Amino acid sequence: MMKRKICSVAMVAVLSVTLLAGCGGMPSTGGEGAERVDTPAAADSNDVPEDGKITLRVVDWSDGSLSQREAFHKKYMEEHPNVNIEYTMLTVDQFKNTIVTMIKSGEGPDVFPVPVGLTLKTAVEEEWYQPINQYVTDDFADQFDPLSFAEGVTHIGEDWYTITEVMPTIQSLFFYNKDVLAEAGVTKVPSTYSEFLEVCKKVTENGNGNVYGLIDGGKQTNRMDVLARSLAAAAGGKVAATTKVLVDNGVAPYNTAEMKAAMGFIQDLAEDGSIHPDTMNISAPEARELFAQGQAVFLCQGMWCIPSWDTNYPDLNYGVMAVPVPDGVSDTYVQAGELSPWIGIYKQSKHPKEAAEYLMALYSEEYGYQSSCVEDGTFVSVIPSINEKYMTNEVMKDYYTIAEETSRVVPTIVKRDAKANNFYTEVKDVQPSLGAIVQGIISQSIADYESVLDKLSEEATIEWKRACEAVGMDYGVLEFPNWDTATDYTDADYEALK
Amino acid sequence: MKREKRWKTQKVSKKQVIEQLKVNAWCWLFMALAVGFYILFQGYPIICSIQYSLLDWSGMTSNATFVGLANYTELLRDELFWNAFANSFKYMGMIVPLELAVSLFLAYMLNNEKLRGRSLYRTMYFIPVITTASVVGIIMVFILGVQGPVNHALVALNIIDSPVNFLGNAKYALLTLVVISLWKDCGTYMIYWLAGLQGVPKDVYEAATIDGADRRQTFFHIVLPLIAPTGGIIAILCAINSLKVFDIVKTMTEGGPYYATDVIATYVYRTAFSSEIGMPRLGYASAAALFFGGAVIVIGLGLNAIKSRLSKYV
Repeated sequence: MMKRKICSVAMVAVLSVTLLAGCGGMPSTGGEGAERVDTPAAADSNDVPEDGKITLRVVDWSDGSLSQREAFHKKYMEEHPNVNIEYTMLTVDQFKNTIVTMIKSGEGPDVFPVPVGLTLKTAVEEEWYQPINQYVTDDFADQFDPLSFAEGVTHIGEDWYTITEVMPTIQSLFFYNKDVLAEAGVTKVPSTYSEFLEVCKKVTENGNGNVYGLIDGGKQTNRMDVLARSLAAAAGGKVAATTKVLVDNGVAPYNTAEMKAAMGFIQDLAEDGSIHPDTMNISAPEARELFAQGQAVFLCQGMWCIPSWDTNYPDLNYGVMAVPVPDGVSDTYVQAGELSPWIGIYKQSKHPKEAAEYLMALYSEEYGYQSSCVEDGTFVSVIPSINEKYMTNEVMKDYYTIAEETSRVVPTIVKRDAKANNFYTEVKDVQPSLGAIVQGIISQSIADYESVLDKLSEEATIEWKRACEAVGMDYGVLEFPNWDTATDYTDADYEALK
Repeated sequence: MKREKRWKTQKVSKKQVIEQLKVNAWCWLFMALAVGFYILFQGYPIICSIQYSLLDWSGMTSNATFVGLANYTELLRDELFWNAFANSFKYMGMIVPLELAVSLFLAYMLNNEKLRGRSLYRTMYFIPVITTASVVGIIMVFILGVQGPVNHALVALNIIDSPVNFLGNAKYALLTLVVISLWKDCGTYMIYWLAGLQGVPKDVYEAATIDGADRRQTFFHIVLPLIAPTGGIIAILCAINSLKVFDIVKTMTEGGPYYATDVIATYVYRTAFSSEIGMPRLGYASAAALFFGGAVIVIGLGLNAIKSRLSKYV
């Protein structure tokens, strides 16, 4: 009896120890156990297998340039027979989930981007990246557009950590199908809300249930968020770019007159039956396909659509136009694209030198990745000389021109106060978010959008105040009193606030 | 004499103990692999989730703040959590009776030995089960789309005047998901029912036939009472599986339109891994998952108790 008891207790103890031992990998809640072992990556740099061939692991979510990337890898491996590139492309969400596990297990890829939502500062503090200064040449650094470098995005102090993927361009211009417009007898591209509503209504009526006014990837709240922010900014509102925070008159600017006008415009489109009914069930790539098939006359998306249509729908007759504005409104602008941190080298990479060589090739003209992406219209490169030489796609040129003319640089709190990085780590999403509210309006689940916007504004203001307090940042940092939405917000404006 | 007898008894019991231990050792040996896997893939994540649920943690950084039960108290005030909670139970309430009835009907039909090609039919009904849910979801979005074949057929047959937005309209979205899941999963439950039906002795059917019972009477008065205990188990499995639904919802609606089909699994996924501003909230999502897990356990126990009571009367 005694033995059995002892056995049972021992077994429970073993099981408990096994379970608790496994919990060693859990997050630190501060205190003594928070120390980390700092393994100098360069020390392992000579860790090359006997056959002399090393494997560089690259993970990202660049689905828009997959074919160009594969061609680049093929060429790179041909010219570097000692390097094998193991490339994994994930979706943004998959990447977010996977990269944390990979890094925690010490098996992070050699080259990978900063996940959406994480600031470079936090990623560096978490020891995900190492500076690339020592591995890249001065010539390499000199070829970049100076505007593609920014503190907290690519650099922290003198240390260069990441390279941005593209020159930031707005992601919310409206593509239109010229043939569908012509079939409906429309000769003028709309520029105001009323013109846009009228054209959509006309096309929808003319389409007899087969063609609609507007289509978009309504299943993705981030796309709906971009749509709402762009429309509100184009209406003259002071709204931050997507995923960013700014306040107007001390409150989260979700219930301003401009935002309400934008939501009213979306509601009018929905009530007219002008929005493609499948919008709520599809994501952005599917919307892109249906637009190309002529099922809608307008689509609000970014430049990345162009190469896909040119390849898969060479006969698609389309153009691009600015975001519509409320009637009687002029001299208003949408938020210019913001630089985002992109790809860098893993701090524990065993091959940082080779990883840097890979990055240098990725951004060189010689290997053709940048040039083919620019030529196809996938993106505007961070290398100006490549843009000058290869930007030949007419729609892309139009897109770029309209984007430059109709957007202005908006202020960012990260540039104003270093504590803003901590703010973005601390702040919590308020739900239903702006994107979700747009979904609700399109699906006609929300009738009174004004009260929903008021609630979002109120709750977001409370949460942003709490997050500011938690990180010791003055709430006033979120407000830029000298911001004129008609002009670019410059370094001088930041200086003026000091 | 007495001492000798006691000594003998002790000797026998020792031998018995050793033999029992040997038997136990074999049992533990056979169970070791399963127990090991359980610890690795169930026990450990559960322990982790419990710890995470007490933290304010994004899941992306190494620093986390211990917040005690704050995540749970916040959950109680979270309207979207309760919306997802309610949707999960609405979904369960709709799918379980349908799933049980349809799969039993199919199983009873396909258990008929006189039915020619019944193996073919069984395979046919089972095929959706082995099809990946995400693939089914993506295809169904187009099949049920406004310009998809279902709407075309319904309009052509004059059943509806204009196409119905099955997934984009909050009124129909959850019901549509139920129908898709029913089609996809009823093959599994059909197999369970078939196993139960095949356990009904043939002589019972023969006796019923001799007594003049028709097929309907045989089913309701003879077969159904005999397979009721199996039905109880199937109902519990079906209820628990339906509360865990994720893949079909994720691929078809992402919980939309405007949270109309948001179930706990999609709520937890969204909270744990995505955010529009700031970082995701793995700690809060863990609390939501554990809270709901607790609710499912309570419901499972409740259903089991009901099943036990009902089986006494059958």
